[in-house]
Order: sequence, then C-alpha cells, then structure tokens
Amino acid sequence: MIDRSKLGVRGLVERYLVANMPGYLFRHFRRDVTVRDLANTYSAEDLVSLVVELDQLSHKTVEDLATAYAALTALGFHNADEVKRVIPRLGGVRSFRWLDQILQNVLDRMSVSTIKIQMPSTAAVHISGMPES
Amino acid sequence: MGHELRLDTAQGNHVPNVRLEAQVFPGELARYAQMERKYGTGFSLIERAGPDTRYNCHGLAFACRRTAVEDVNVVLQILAEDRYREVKDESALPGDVLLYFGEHGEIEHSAIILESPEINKNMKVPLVISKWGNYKELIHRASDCPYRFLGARYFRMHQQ
Repeated sequence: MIDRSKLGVRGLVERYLVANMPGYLFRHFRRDVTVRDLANTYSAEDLVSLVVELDQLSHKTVEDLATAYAALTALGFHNADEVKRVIPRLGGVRSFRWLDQILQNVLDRMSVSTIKIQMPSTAAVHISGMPES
Repeated sequence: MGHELRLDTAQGNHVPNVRLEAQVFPGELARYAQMERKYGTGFSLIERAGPDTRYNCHGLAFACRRTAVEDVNVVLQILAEDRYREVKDESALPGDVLLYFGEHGEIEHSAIILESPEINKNMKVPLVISKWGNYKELIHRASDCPYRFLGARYFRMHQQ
C-alpha cells in the first residue's frame, strides 16, 4: 500500500489546476520527476490500487485528484503487458473524469515505444563510422 | 460525465466537445486563489466570470463559452475549417485569438486579445482574456499566467 502522505505531489497540483485538456495534463505529468519516481518505486498493481483507494475517498482534496492522475500517468513507464493486465481493475472508478483519456494516452505511448527487433543470430550489425573487426 | 453539444465548424463538420456541469470544490478554489496571487503581481488580474466547469479556454475562444474543447486535434480542426490564419504580432487586433504552445509545439492554451500588442510597444505583450482550467475567466497580460507566452502566436478568422 502506498503512503500518500509521502508522495510529494505539491508541484503537480498547479499543473492539474490549470489543465484544460487531458493531453496537457498527461504531457506535463509525464515529464515530471515525481511521476517518474512513482513509476520507479511502485508496481503497476500498486499504482492502480492507489487510484482505486483515492476514488473511494468521500472527501477528495486537490492533492488527491492530482495524485490519482499522477498514478495513472506513471503506469506509462511500466511494462505494457503488466499495465494491460491491471487496467480492468479501474473499471469501477468514477471520480476522475479524464481517466479514460489518460489511460488512452498511456496505451498510445506504449504502442509507439514498444518495438521488437528480431534478427537472425548470424546477422552482422555494421555501424557507420565504426571500424569493422 | 458531461454531455456533448451540437457544434459544427464553418465547413459543417462536427466539433467534438464536452459540457460538464459540476462544482469546483472549495479546496480547489483555495489553491486557485493562491495561484491568482502568484501571477497577479505585475498587473492586477481582473475577474470577468467566476469558476465554471462547463467550458475551458478553447470553449471560450472558439465555442462562445458553451462547452469545452478538450482535444488538441479538435482545436486544429477548428483552425482549419473555420479559416483561421496566423497574423503577425504587429497586426494583431482585439478579437483575434492568441494560442500558447508548449516547448514541443503543442497547443496548450488559448486567449482572446482585448488590447493589441502594439499599444504596449516596448513589451509587445497584449491584454487578453482567458480561462485557466476550471477556474475563472481572467483579464490579464498575456505573459501573466501559468501558460508559456514565449512563442505564442496570433490567429484571426477570415471570411471566404
């Protein structure tokens, strides 16, 4: 379980408040070191649990709202298969109106950044400018 | 959450939008007020309208305050299909739209010009009206806001 009091989302709150489009929120949150720290520290499962926990709070502060979007954005730094496995747990979440758009941004980014290169084991790779051995 | 209004461009194509009837929470209002003080140091910010979730900055600039336009591709659609063209800084006039761009060239905010940049010749910073997230409509110097004025560009709708 993530201790919300130690997340330090204050810097994200202003960005959340002035966000006029989900894409704006996603881009700026994704560049923020707090979001990267969240992704590096916690699993996709933990991040989704945090969003569910925040959704169930009866009184949400602006920090809670920013934290939820930070956690959703942080999912984008995790393994695509892992993220796709845990996303269904967000099905009952109703408090965050840009949830679907942020998740779509997360998945879109994964689809362009996950590239598999398959080469035969005998293939030679020649890098321009490097002397051939 | 929210509903969509029927809204078309000059070419008759639908403009995807969302009109959210919701309350801005007291906790949010308190933080917005802090932010207003932060950006209101050079020139007093003037409140034109109170907090409202029904429209955003693009809804103010392009949809008469009726709804929110929340997709940058839709803003680009409006610019193209409503025949907006860029105008040079010195030619910008009240009523033109000022678009703010992010560091990577993405449209991030829009405002309507109230006073041409040329009136304030030394600084070339126009007086504008814009809406910050769910917060108020504020009249402010174009640079006195949370969005990136550097690289902002002026656009005007042209008739056929």
